[in-house]
Amino acid sequence: MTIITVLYVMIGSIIGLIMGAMPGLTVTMTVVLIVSLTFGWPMQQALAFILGAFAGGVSGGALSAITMNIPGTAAAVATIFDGYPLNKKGEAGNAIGLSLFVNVIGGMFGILLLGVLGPVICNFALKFGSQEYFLITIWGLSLVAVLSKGNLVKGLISGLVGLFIGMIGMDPITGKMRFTFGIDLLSGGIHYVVAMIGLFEMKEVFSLLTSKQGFAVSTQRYKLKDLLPKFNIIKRCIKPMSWSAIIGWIIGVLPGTGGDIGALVAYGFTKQLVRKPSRPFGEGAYEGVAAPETANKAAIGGAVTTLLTLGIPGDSVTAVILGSFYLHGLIPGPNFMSQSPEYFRLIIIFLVIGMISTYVFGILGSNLMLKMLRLPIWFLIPFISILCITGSFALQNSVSDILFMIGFGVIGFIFERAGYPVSPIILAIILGPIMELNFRQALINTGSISSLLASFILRPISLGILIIIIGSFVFQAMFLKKVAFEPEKVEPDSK
Amino acid sequence: MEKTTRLLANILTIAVLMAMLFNIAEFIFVKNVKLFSVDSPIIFPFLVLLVLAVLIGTNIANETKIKRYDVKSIEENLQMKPKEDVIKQFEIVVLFTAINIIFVLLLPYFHFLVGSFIFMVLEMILLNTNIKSFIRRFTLAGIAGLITVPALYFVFNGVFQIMLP
Repeated sequence: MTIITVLYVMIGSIIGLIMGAMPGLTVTMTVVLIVSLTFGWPMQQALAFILGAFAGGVSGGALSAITMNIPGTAAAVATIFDGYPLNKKGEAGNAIGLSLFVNVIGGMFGILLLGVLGPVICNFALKFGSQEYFLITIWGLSLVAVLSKGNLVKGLISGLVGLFIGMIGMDPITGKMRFTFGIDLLSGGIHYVVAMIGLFEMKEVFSLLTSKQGFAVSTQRYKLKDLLPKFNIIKRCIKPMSWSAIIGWIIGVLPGTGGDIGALVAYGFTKQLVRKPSRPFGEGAYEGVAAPETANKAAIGGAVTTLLTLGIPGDSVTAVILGSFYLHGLIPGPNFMSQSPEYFRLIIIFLVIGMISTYVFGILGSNLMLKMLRLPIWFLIPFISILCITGSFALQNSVSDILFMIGFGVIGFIFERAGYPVSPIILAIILGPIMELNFRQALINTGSISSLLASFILRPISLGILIIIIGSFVFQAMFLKKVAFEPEKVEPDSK
Repeated sequence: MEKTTRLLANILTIAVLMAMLFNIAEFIFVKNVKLFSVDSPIIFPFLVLLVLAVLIGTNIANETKIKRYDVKSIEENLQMKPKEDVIKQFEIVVLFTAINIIFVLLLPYFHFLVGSFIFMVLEMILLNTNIKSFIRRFTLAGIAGLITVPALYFVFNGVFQIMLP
């Protein structure tokens, strides 16, 4: 690791902070864009940039949530409930400072658990066979569908459409062409980064085009001392921070759940557990900012744990990161610790640097970022379009990739408008080949479909995973979805 | 908007279903590949197809049910935006998709700097409807394009060192 790589983490975190703060530009978009632009880079530098952006992006969302009542990212939805009321009471500086500070604490806690428990989970996962891997991929995909904002059926349809897209091209076992319909362009399959850029970024361009909403950005400027953590506020928030960090990490570990759900659940728990908040919840309680912001950052450590130890992405951001690992020849999974221990350590170091630099640049650059939030839509749309076009071309120097990307943008726009979530499509494109390969290997090993089905129950680990899947499915569908998607009602801003 | 997009999304999902069905049938009847063998390349796609068919059927049934019986949905329909507005939104998406495609197809003939500048200025003029005067709009778009495009070129070419279209 050189000073240049550290610099890349820092630049990544700054880009993440800015893009995360802009409503409409998500963490996933930021990471997709960076993956597409850095795929030709040496692995270390690319990883540094990507992980920096991931760390910065999650924190950036809070800025617009507090100042504009619009979450910059999904992970900042819960921050609005008390962050924006704090802004209205003239305490935006305190809220931003608190959110940035607890972000570091939550993030560090998540990374600590990744470092401690990662090797343990890896050792256990070494016992996994094809059946277990197949079940885990099913778990990840179905839970993303369950927790998607659209309805369950539509979420599952999106996942299956993604599986179809992932199957286009050469069959991994027999080498036969599938779903190419004699079109040469399809024989190499559809690059998942192209699909990602289309479904996450280009789709957003179309959504911005058809939305007539403008953003009302506060013109207030914050002094450095306003943004530094105040001892009395931190003292009040220690307890909510401690349980929120644990909740965030656990939810981050579960496939299909990320920082957004973690933040909402942590907020819900805090509301139940804190008897005497600094102010009533929903009216500017510091605890209501600290809890979701601690949890959404701790979830990063959890999601990366699942990604590195099992090779399963938890949400759309980690799906993109998994895709970037593949692009650079890094294969996460149970063997990751033994085969690439240096990269495991590097990832932890990059995340730590990313968290710290996010805090420092967040404090120093809040005023500048607020200025950037004022960029008009008429500028943002062509600007993002050019980024999408260049990013998709850069992958294989192919104009057809750009056309595919635009096509995916249109599909994503239509799907989202019709209530179909797009995250399961991407997750399925990436998980699909792993799922199919393990399914077919298990089928070859067992000899028939009936034996394969029996093996799911007869193999102890497989049975255990099956029980966990059903349990977590019920738990998440019944409990988490309720907490996540029936949140606090926020009074619309009258401005 | 909702009704039209729902219809379009249903058409897309059915198209995926048909494409899968067609290709799997081609494997079975033209290429004589066995569906239920352990090394069949179409066993997994077939299972996906089955689940997808069931889910699409369920979804269409749900939507039809809502249309018929849900009073809320009827109320929503009554409150829907005028049809012209819906068409206008789709027209905007189609127009910008077309501009993007034309830009992409013409890009190999222009340099990235020239092509992107024209593209940015054109889109900004079309989008910045708040300013009534065309000359002011053009000037603003031109200045923004002149600053942004070379900056992007420097970042992509100099920093990221990527091949540009």
